[in-house]
Amino acid sequence: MTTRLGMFVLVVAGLAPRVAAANDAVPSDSAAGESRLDPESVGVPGFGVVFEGGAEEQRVTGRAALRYGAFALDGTLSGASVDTSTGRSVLFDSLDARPKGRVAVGLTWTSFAIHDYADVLDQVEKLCEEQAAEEARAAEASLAEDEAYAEAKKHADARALAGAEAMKRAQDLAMALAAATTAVGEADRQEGEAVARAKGALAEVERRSAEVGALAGAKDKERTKGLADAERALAAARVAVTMATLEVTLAAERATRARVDGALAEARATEAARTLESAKSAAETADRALEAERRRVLDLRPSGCAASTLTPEREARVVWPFHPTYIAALRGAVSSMRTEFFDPVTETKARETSHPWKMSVGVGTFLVPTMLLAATLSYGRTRVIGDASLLCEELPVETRVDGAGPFTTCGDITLGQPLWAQSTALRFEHRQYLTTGLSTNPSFTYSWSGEETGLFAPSQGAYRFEVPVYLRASLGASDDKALVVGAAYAHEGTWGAPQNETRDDVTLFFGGGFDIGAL
Amino acid sequence: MGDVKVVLKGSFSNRDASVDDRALPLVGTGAAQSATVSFAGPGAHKLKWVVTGAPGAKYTVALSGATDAWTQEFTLKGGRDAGLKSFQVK
Repeated sequence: MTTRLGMFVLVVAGLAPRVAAANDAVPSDSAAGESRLDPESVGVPGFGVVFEGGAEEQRVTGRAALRYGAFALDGTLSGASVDTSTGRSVLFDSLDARPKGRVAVGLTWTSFAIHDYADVLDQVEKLCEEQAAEEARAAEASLAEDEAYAEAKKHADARALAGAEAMKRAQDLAMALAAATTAVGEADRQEGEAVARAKGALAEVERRSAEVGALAGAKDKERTKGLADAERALAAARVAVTMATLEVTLAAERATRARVDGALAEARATEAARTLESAKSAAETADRALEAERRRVLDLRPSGCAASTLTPEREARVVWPFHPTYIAALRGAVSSMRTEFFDPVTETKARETSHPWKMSVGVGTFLVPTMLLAATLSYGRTRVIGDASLLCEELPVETRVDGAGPFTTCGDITLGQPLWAQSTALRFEHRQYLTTGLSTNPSFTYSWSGEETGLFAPSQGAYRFEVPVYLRASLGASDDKALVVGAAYAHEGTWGAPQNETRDDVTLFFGGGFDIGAL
Repeated sequence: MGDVKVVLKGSFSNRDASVDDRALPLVGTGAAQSATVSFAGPGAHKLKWVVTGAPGAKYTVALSGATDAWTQEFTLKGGRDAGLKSFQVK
């Protein structure tokens, strides 16, 4: 069984600290080699792996998708090297909650259907027929100017002539054979008749001889007269026998000669048949060579026809209907999050494994084939910790009296009891589908979060505006390999918080994608 | 009875195909999508397809099985393409 891997994408090197990773609801269809592979994509999912590196974390995301008709089912497994949910502003946490591990399953539906393009296909079919007829006429005309074809045609014509001559000769010989066969039959018949006549004459001689013998006992006068008559008749019969014998001999000679002639005619006919077969074979070979030359000149390879294979003039005549394609995506993700924290109640270090989850629903539309507009609404629950430095100040981890007085340290553990929080995000984006050159995927996300209560409190949240710009270089004739370099600028800010904060982020990507294997 | 396999492969965001105006349930991972059609006997049939994607991207359409094997590469000149191919089931 062939190994079936679709797209493999590597993205490495985040030069600037990736301060806020955000929810990254990027509709990475990855079928075209997206450099970022996000589990919350609204786009058509593909198959791939992404590595992302930054100052604060390294992340690997693997994704596989199976498409069946209008539906696509995909699964994502991702992991990060650090838990970035610590040390964050509560508001930013709503954008930046990235637990270490995440498993997501998504279902995407697209409205794209061939019957919406029936009219286009009818137009293309007519234009293809028109173009094929024109090309055939032009190609036939070009045949006359092609030297190799002319040579092959000359050869084929000569062979055809030789074949026709061989055929005529074979026909002549066949007729001669038929005549010889008839002559043999006639000679045989004549010989048979001569033999019959000879036998009859011989019988007459015998009969006359008997009469002569019978007259020997008759009266003298009658005997003399009858004997003379009988002897004359006998003599005549003997002459007849002699004549008949000669006829038999002649007929036999004629028959022998006819048989010899027939055998010769048969031999010639056999030879002519061989010559004819040879001529036919040579003519067929020449015809094949001529046809091959014709195909070479006319380029008559069996082919399909598409709008893209039409001449620019004909292609411009195709009227494409406005059929926006809608995409709907439903996605669920569950994470695994391990946290070490200092419990201020028991004043001990504690560990916890929790499973944050998130659901998202997205809709998008291809207004034109190369532009996707999408919106995604997501809701999730995750574990958050308050501001570490603040907690460090208020809840000292360790207080010692060693002469220097009490002091506070945070160590390498999280302070404070983790709490369940919920976050809601709304993201709008625009995606370009380009194989080569520059493309961009600007997005705006607004997210708000809260602890167990206050599910919908959007007046206090955080926003993120991100503009990734990708430069793609296609490799290979079929565009199934691509190199991608990209830079993403993000600006984040809190909204409605007592102390509004902002920050900027620049990330660089380098990636490559290639498609290996086919079903 | 003969089976013909239809494969669409390449960088496209949307794709759909039909044989004799019956839509094909294309299945696949990544950029390779395929469907197999069964025919009761020999005869002439027509494959049609529509593809959208990045302008300039190339894609291939292939037929194999109980017909003469055929593969042809096309280009999404304006980010979309529609084509057809007649084939004979042996």
